[in-house]
Amino acid sequence: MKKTTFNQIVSSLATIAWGTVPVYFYAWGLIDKYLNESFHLIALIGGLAMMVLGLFNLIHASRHVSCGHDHSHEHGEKDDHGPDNDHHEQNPVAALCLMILPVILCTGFTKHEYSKEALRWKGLYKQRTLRSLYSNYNAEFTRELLEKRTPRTGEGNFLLQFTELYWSAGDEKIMKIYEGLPAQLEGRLIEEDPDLNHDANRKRLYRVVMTCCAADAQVLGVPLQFGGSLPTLPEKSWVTARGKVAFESIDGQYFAYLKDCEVEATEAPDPRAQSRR
Amino acid sequence: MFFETWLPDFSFLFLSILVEGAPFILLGTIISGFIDVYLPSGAMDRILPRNRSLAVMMSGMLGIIFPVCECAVVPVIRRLVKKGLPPACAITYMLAAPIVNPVTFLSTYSAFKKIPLEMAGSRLLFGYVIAVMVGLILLRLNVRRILKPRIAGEIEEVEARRAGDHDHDHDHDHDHDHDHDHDHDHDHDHDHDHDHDHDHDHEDEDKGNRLIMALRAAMRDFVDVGIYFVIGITIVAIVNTPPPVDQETIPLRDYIDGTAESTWGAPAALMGLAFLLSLCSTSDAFIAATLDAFGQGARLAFLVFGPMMDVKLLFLYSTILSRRFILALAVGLFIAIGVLSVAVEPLFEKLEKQNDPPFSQRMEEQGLPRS
Repeated sequence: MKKTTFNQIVSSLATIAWGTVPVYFYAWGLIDKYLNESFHLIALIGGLAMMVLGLFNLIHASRHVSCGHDHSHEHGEKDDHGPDNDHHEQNPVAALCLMILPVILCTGFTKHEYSKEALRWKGLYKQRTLRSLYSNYNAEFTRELLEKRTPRTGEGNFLLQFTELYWSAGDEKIMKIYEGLPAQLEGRLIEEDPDLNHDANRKRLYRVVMTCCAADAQVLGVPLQFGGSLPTLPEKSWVTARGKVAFESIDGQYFAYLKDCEVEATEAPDPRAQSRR
Repeated sequence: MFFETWLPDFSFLFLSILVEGAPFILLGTIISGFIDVYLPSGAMDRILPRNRSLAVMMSGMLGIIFPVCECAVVPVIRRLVKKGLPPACAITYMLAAPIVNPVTFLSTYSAFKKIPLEMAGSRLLFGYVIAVMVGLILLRLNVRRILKPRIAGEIEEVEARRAGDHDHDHDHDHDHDHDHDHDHDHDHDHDHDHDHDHDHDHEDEDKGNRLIMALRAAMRDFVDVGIYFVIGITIVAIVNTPPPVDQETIPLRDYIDGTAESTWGAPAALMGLAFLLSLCSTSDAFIAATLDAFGQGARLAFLVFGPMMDVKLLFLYSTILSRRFILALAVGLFIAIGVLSVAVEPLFEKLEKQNDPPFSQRMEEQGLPRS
């Protein structure tokens, strides 16, 4: 086998390997764990295109081609394009080590979600505030308006957006509006930070919010305080939590939480339905 | 610990950036493959004005017509430079295109609802001005100081050939014309009269061969750029993965938040964040919108610097630019964008106070993705 043909085959396999990843994620319903919904279709089309490109070049790997014109005579213009004359050969070892192996290894090692350590690192137990939400707001936002615009369950709980409750901590007037509101939230259940759980009566509800991909994700967490025993659901279970909105200050930082909570296991929400809400 | 948490987290991050960025690189490399085979050498000379400064200014606006993000633009300009596009114009396009394009404008407009037009407009204007400034400076530099020696050598070879063709063509009848890429002015009428009067018995085969060549070139570029992309995203993933040893290490974001009140520290920190996060220019505005501990000027620095220089771009740029030039470019952009952002901060503060919406709208308008 010629060296150029071998290089061509390795490059084709590298391209196919890259294409396989997004197609596999999409086909197995894992893509929403990696990318924001707006990138799903792009990733699928891109993956399929990579596979087609790789396969096409693999099929034609040993074929010698030129554009058919002899540019070097009559017209005096030499062919300045094409792989055969740009004096550049890829190193197949580099393609193998840097394109194929990392993808195979990472696909094998990934658990399609963050570990608990990474969730903590990404802000699970922190409260961030958006100052722009609160500065100079006018008086029109009231409890009545909040109740009017928020849908309720049959039991009378307000279906709050997770982000809405999370960002409501930080301004006294806003917190007063939300304080005591019977609310229902969906999220994933995880252990509370021991430093924030002295009475051992808390768990934490969290959501991962991503803008582009998992690398830019923020983890938003809301503590759940239980009156009775703690739920025994597995870590990271999807749950529906019901309770009353409350706020507390820890080291000068306000946190929103739900008190008198009860939770029940639920299905993971459909990301497409979420984005339409 | 390493195998149980660090490696799965790293792999998760690595793959998420890979599946986000790879389709855009593919788009760029397919365009570059077709440019390689179908775009005649010297065609760019005819598209751009002969005046080099004007050509640079026009290159800064090409993103409006060819909107590509920063991952896709590198393979395209690599090929265009080989096809005769002056490096100054190519780099202007490379720096400006991820910002001066309608997709980025609209995403910035959507993310900053408080001062949408001002923020999206400033980003576009700053991106354009900075890119053109860089291009105008580069007009004075020798290509060997800008490009990798191999690329510079190839360009010089092509230019020498074209110069030779030019002389040669004056002495001959143009008895065929397949690419219409003569550089001299007096041959245009001639082209029309003698189109395809040479023998093309194997025309279909030629077309097939050309397609194979284009797709082969596309794949070569894809692998070429992909290798550097992998190095870049590996670093990004490592930075964003909690270290396996010391769990008390403070996340980068917390360090950066601490600089929010500093006039010079805030834009510097956000440019550093943009460099490390390596976000796509089409959606980075939504991240910038959440950095509201910082002033708008600092966030503008994040939005302009990021698409021009980040970790993955550092490695992508090294497929065409010399290391010394990349370093100079990074430092120059950092300083120029930092100074501009500090200069406009008071103006943004004034605008923000004028356009402060009521709270009930703000909950909807933060540009935050729904949980």
